[in-house]
Amino acid sequence: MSEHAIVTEGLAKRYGRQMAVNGLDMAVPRGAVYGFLGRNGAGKTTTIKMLMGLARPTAGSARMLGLDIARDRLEILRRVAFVGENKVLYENLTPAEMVRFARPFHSGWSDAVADAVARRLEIPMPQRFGKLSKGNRAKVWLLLALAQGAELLLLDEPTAGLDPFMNDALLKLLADEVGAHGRTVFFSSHHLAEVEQICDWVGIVDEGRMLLEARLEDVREHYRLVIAAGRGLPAAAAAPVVTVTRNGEFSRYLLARDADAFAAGLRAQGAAVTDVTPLSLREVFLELVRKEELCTSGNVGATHAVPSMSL
Amino acid sequence: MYLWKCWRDTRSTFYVLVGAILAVGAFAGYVAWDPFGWIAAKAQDLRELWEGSAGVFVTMAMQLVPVAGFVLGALGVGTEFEKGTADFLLTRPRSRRYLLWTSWGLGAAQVVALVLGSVILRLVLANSPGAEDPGAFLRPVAILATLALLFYSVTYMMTTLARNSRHGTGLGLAAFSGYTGLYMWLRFWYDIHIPVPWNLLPALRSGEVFSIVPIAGWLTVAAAFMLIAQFRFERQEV
Repeated sequence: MSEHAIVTEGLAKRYGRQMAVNGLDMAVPRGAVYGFLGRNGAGKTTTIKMLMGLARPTAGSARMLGLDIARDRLEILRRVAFVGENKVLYENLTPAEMVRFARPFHSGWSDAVADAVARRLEIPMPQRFGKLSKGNRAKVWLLLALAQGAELLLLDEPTAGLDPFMNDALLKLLADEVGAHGRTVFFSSHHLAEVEQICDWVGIVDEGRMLLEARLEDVREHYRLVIAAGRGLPAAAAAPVVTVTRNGEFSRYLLARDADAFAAGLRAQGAAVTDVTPLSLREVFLELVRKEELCTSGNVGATHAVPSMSL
Repeated sequence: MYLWKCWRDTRSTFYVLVGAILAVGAFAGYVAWDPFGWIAAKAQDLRELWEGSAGVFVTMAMQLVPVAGFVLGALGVGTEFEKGTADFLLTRPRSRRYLLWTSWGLGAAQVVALVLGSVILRLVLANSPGAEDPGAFLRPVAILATLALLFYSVTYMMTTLARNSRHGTGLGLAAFSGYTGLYMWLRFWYDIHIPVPWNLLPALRSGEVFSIVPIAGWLTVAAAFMLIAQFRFERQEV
């Protein structure tokens, strides 16, 4: 059995002249709660669509639960639950009727889970879907996904439209599901706070490429921003440097580890190191997707993806 | 499951069509049997007007039933894209082929049921249940069901290709109008005869030659349209 729930290699999707996903390499460990972060238009939804068979990759490959997305579509759909981006379902059906409709598709369906989720998320089951608020629509999608008993949950912005209270309830529910059943949860978001709340892994994507994939714990404990002033400082990103940005004589280095040793090296080159700062996920995210004056890659905004490493 | 959902989506249209046939049947039955003697009490010219109207309605109802194919064909699986529900449906663990043919099958059953209803209605009103001449029942059923399934399948395919019910209906009607125009142009200017489905209609009249070959041919054409729809649907992206 593969140790990864999702693996993509060079996954790409082109729409006309635009590369929505551009050689994405990703590895989601089994049992992880993986936050797939990116700005609007970064390629998150397209990636999820390709994984679920709703879009065909232009290049590259992907496996989910050890199954090839191009060849084993039905088996993947049996074992993976999905919450779509648009949260649209049949307008004239009630959530209770949606449950009735979805149940026979899934051999692992649990009415007990469906009832429990409906109660916990306060879903108005007898009301037609067309009359539900945006938040309630998202909850119905999540109910249908959780009740399937799938090994892997693929959720595209599942909390969109939820008020803070329900947002919190939904995240707790997801965390409980993982704790109780050992499922893998992969969810896309651009809300960093909710990712920090429940995720143990994070992947940051921009312009269709993976900029960073790491344990959240590693990011919190080891990622540092080093700001140095001087001439002739390193301009290329090589591990442990994730990105380098430059503004005049000042260089900003985002490091995945060994920040103090790196700063000492800069000082040895005559640089004045003004700051070695621990970073929050938000700050790491902003450093990675920062566009101006990148000097690490010909591809604007993109840097080398640095896989998580035990430090 | 999916069949149930398809029935939910199409049942109101089906009920309206059945209601229309029943309404025509009730009117024509009333005129035919005149249970209260009200029509018999009227003047000769008014009686003829009532009887003539009833006959026209029944004939029109029977021949317009195939047109229901255009209506039901526009409610196929292609509308899932228009409604924004395709990403939900297409992530259920069923092949797209299964979804398409289940949806088509239900609509086809409804089309055939409407044809059967209209033919039975006409035979009942004509006081000829067809027991002594099975052909009087089977022949119009075969012809009208073939036409209806052809219209239905073309519209179904167009709706699947266009991913939109209105566009599907429009394209279906345009395809038939265009093909009929082509037929007329070739026939009148070059005396070339290409097969058209309308050529089945004369065989509705008793005494006309009836052959199963054109029926089988047009049903094959309908199936070919559905294979095109399947080919496209299996490759559509959301």
